[in-house]
Amino acid sequence: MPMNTNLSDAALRQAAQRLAHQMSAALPAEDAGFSAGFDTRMEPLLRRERHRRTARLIWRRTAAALLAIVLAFGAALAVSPAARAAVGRWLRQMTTEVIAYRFPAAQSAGTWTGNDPTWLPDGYVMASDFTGDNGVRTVRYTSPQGDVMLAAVGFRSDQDISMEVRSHRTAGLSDVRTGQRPQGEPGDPEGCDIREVQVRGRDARLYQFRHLPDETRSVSVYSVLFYLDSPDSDAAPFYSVSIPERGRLLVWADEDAGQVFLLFGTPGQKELCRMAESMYEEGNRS
Amino acid sequence: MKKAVMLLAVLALALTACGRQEDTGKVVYIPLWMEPYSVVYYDADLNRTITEGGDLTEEEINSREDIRAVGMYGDELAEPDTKVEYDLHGFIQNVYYKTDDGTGYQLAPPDARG
Repeated sequence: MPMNTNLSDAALRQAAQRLAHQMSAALPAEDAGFSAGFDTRMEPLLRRERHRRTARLIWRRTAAALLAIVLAFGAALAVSPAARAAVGRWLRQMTTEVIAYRFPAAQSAGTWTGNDPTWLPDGYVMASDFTGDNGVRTVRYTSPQGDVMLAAVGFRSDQDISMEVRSHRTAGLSDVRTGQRPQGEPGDPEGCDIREVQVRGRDARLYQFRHLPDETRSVSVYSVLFYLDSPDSDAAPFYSVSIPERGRLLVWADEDAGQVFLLFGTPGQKELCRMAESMYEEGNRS
Repeated sequence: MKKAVMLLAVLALALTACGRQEDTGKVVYIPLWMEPYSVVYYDADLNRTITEGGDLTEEEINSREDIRAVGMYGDELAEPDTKVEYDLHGFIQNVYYKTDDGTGYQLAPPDARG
């Protein structure tokens, strides 16, 4: 006679739990741990892995930060001429005959409209402020001790500009066929002492000109000549100034203003630098 | 005594070197343009005397195309004992140098004289 047994859901769940408990109890006991020798051998491996994870994390974060900076900088360059100018690199090269600067084409700032120096050496007064058709602004200061001139030559947007400092021996000379100007040999230029200085954080150079032994001239004269670097350009400089021996020339490029500044004349290094610095004083910047 | 004198001499030399002013020459620029037929003299110390004509005003300089095309200052340096003459347009025409006997002026600069 068949047995009729009814099992409820609750009874079945209870039986399953009991079985699971019995099976779990029947499992062999877990090992208490690894041996001391094994732990010692594994430690460097684990440490290396931990370092690797940390290094990976740092690298990822650095890469993300760099990417963000590059994107932000690129965006700034795309919209801001001033930012583009700030990364423009001008070059300087010296040979025995010429000190040559090259200013790559940059966002043109046009004629300099900034303020004059607020500080002048004793006895100096402003005598003239002239802007020529070439866009170069020249301000002349005079005193019983002589003249000081400030010249501002703007970068060009379409052409590179070259600036050359030469003595009377090679100033104005060029090959008739090629138009090439005398380049000289690698080395220090003759006739001038050079000092590296700063004008409000901008690299500047002070040139002091000396007498060059020359049978044909009793006084040496140096020229600063600006050329447009283009095959279509005239071989003649678009702007030039003369500085006699014992004169000094302070040169600095202000890429924010898009200008090359020349300050030249009689005063010494301290006075010329102070004069230049005073152009950047608070409340004296256009 | 001898040592003391030498020490004083060395000290004096050192003080002279430290206190020496920077060598200051004199740089004076000639205006390329003045009033027509101006005549200007520069003496041995580059002091300037205008005997005829005169300087142009800022307004005159800035209103003239010929001046803006050529420039005004920076190219021509004044030289001692010279006379500078300007032409009918007021542009620099000639620089004359004092003769060796000092009685007049001539075109040849001292360097070019035999």
